[in-house]
Amino acid sequence: MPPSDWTLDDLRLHLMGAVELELLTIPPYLTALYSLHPDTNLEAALIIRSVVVEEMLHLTLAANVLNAIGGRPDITGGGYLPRYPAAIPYHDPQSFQVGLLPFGDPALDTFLAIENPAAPVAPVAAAAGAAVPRVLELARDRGYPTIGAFYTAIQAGLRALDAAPGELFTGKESLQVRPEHYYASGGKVIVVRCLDDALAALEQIIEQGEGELTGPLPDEKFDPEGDLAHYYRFNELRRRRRYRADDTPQTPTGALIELDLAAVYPMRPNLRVADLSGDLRTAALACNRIYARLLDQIQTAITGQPEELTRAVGTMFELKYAAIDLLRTPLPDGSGQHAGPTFEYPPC
Amino acid sequence: MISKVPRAIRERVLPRPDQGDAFAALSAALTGFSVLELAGTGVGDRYLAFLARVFPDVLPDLLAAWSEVERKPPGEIDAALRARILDDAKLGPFARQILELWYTATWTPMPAAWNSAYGDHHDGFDAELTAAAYPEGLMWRAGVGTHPTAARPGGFGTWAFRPREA
Amino acid sequence: MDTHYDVVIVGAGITGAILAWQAAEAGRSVLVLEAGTDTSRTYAGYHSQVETFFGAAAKTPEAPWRYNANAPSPDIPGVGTPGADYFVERGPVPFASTYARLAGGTTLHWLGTCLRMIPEDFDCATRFGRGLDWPIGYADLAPDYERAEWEIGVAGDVRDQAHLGITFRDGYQYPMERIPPSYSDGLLSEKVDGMLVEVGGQTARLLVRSTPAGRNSTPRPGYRPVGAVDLAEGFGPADTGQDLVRDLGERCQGNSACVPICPVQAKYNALKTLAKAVATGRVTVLTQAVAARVVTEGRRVTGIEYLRYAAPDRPEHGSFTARGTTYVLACHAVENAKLLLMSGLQSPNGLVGANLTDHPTVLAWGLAPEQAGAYRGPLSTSGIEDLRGGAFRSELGAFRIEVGNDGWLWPMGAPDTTVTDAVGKGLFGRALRDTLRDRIGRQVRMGCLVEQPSSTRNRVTLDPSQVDALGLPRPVITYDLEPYVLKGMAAAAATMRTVFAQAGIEDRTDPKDSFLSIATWEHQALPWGGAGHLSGTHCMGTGPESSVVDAQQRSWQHDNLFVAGPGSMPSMGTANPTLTVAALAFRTARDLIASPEERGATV
Repeated sequence: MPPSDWTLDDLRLHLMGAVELELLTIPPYLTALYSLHPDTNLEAALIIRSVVVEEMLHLTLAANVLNAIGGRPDITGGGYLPRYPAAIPYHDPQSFQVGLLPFGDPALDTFLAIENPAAPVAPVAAAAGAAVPRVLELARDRGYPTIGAFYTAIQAGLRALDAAPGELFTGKESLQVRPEHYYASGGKVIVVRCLDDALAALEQIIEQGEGELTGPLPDEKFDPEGDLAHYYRFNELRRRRRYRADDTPQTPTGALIELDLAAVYPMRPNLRVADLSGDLRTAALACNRIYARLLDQIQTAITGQPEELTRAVGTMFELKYAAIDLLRTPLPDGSGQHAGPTFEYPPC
Repeated sequence: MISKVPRAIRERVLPRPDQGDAFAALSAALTGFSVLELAGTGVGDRYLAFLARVFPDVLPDLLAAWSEVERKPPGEIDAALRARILDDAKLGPFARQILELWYTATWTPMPAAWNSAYGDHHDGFDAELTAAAYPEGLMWRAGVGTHPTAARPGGFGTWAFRPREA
Repeated sequence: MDTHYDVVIVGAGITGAILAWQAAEAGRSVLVLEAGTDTSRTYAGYHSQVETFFGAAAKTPEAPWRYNANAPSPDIPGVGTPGADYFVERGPVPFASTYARLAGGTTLHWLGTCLRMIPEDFDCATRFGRGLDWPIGYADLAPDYERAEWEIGVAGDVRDQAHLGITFRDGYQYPMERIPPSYSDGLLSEKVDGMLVEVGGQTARLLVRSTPAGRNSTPRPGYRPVGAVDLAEGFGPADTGQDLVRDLGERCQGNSACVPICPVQAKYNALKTLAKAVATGRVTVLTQAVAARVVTEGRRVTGIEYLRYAAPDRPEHGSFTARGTTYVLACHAVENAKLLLMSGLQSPNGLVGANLTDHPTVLAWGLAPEQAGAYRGPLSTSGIEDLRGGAFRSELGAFRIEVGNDGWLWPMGAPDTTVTDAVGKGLFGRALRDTLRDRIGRQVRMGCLVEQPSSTRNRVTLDPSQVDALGLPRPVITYDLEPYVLKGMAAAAATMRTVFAQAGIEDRTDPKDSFLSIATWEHQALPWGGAGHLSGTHCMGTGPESSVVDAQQRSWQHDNLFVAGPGSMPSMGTANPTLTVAALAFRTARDLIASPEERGATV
């Protein structure tokens, strides 16, 4: 169904799908980030950190647009908060899912797959009964060839519905997360009141991360602030080299990036609370409760109390320390692998 | 003295299976933090390696004494720890320095009197050790809402909230 | 090295950076000579200094900033690097404040407090018969205070600052909202706001106010907070395709390490301005270049001789001369004076080096009645400013009360010493943990910055027999605390005792048990330390008979020389000086750009 035929519900569904998509990427990135020994692999830490901060910005932008058109974001009530490894759009869940991995080339390959800029892949149906993100359902049902196409469709839907009779931007402005509430990212939070604002918000998501421009333009890697799109930041780490402005998309030829892969806590991939017992299980549960609190605070922030983001910032730091404590702790089975955050919601 | 740039962070410290568990249990009893909480600091192996290198004779005595204490029923361990280790002329001062190491991430040299009696081990403030361990000093975890200077911050605005136990 | 610049600046601190930027924006070519290294230029280099701090035995303000024998700077007396004392202290009181010789200067380790001076601070001699008058007043400097506040990036609220005559232009606001006051500020405020105290026969009503600071907070419209720097060789923008740390430090995270090093550069440092200067394409920065002599011919400066060393730990160096049309000495109060004296440029009135001033800071510390969240947040978020002014200043020094968030770290080396004490008493295990849990978060402290009027008895001189690794003279410091100051310190101590009592804080101030110096007044032992505020040494004034520079910081003796920085300040009052220093730099920049030598200059 082309965006020109969408109803308001279609548009809201797509935007909620965008919120889910951004949220889905955060636990795998955080796990890899926190698995780095403190004060090591500085470049890698800064790169992953910058991507996480932007994913949260994208989440916020999508929520702002959704709020502006009278929708209601709902993360904790029924949003896609999967257990990892989890299905992600455009990949066959039988052969590839994104998991919680310590930093290393397998983790980087996962991130490249998430951020894959222009790999048209036939959307794959998930196994019956499995949890899927809305965007995967939409992709399957509506046939978007890439995540970029997904976001572009949202832009088209906004234009169409704005042009239609009746007011599209009916949401209360007090619901908007404003620039003073959100910081520390290359982009800016946009207060959405009208079509131009909404299109700008989505354009920022597209340029910074998912869904790049079509066609291999030479500066396609960089967004207006001169920052690399996420795929390329991860590719720099994977190829161990920085991009120069005139490099081809696949091959950075700039300065070497040194990685110390031994300075990584050897977390057991995709750990679950159920795998643990005793004190360690209690600690892993406590970490998940902090994660749940974070999600609640984000939920509160994007449904009318944007000031709540200050508390969410504090919770993110708490989550980091709880996760790192787990990542430092060897599992009692003598495997040499360590515990780590499980990001299971609801905590159980 | 020109202080050198510590590269301690990169140093890989291998756990010592023979002493690691005993050291962890002793440290828990000394510090009042659980074995799990101490594991979460990630510096136990580093402290153990330091002590094994600088006090290769005294450390085994301490751990042997601990293995006696550890056999007591749980309610009697503190008293046994005090009697067998902390009140011992040789092991007491050593154990107290270890206790302070856990809390402050800083090794203070053994007093001269102890050196005369039990040998000068040429121990001193170890900048590399402290550089690696400073953010994990337990004193910051003991205080309500506190965090190490220049590490583990709470985030913007969190200092305005009522301090909470970690 | 043969290049002729429009402007040659000695010192890459806040004064040098602002002047370089303003001159470059006006089309001038600029050379900045910096004695120290550029370790903080890259984020990785800066971060390595955080690690140095972690590994330091004594966590002083200089702890992260690796000792450099070729550009030595002072450390806390008695605590610093053994064998590396820089100041030759003639006393009777050891000068207790320090500064850094590095690209970025002392703003690398300042607290960040950005208070304006109050109007009466500008004419203490006339009003109170103490110290020196400024040749300008608050109203003259106010527009430059605004420029300084917007360049540094100050977080504050003008409503908290309108006291003791401080006024703001209608509608003016700081670029960022005030840093949230700490939880313990709130506890104090509840008990203390509105209480009356008496000092020098005058009654004051106290209020806990947020302190404006050069620290990133929620921006107001029109301002984007500037995060950490990560610059290429020469301080130009790095060419990596992205700026990973630009967004780091966009808000204060509460690392509680402003002094000595903010790990994310949420606090302003002069490299942020230096980066803007270099980005104009007209500014060259040479680090590891120690100015050794100002070369003059009559009333003109014709060059700056400097020594360029390859490595901080080896004295081998080359000698060069920098040439310009206009010259600026901007290497802080002591180094500016030292450079002039080394060059044989003492003023006929003998005032170069004279009037060295500090803010002796009296501390008080105690245990709050409940968990206060000590050791969290910026080192100070609030203060009590009501005793900064008043008629009593004819008899004793005024003071401001800085409310600390950093527990007993400064006076007692806590919480380390708290641990040692408890372990020494035989505590271990759960009992030890619970005791520390009870104590550490309740450790609160205050510090009173006491004004010190200018006195020619306090000064910087040189002794040719005392030299550093490069053969340059070490500064000889003669310094004392006179009765006026001691009376002020005693009044400050008494005020803090009263405030503690009002707030239910159990007073634990014990000078002898602390790491601080002790001053005595009327048998009272007053524990104090230096605030890190050095001023005087080349005061501005109305004429060459009574001062070293004019109201634009231009030398009375040499037409194309500016001697700029806190050394020009005839008084600091009770305000941390950096904001005033920055305002003066903007003022000087206008005069520098407009000077006759610059018009139609030929090489």
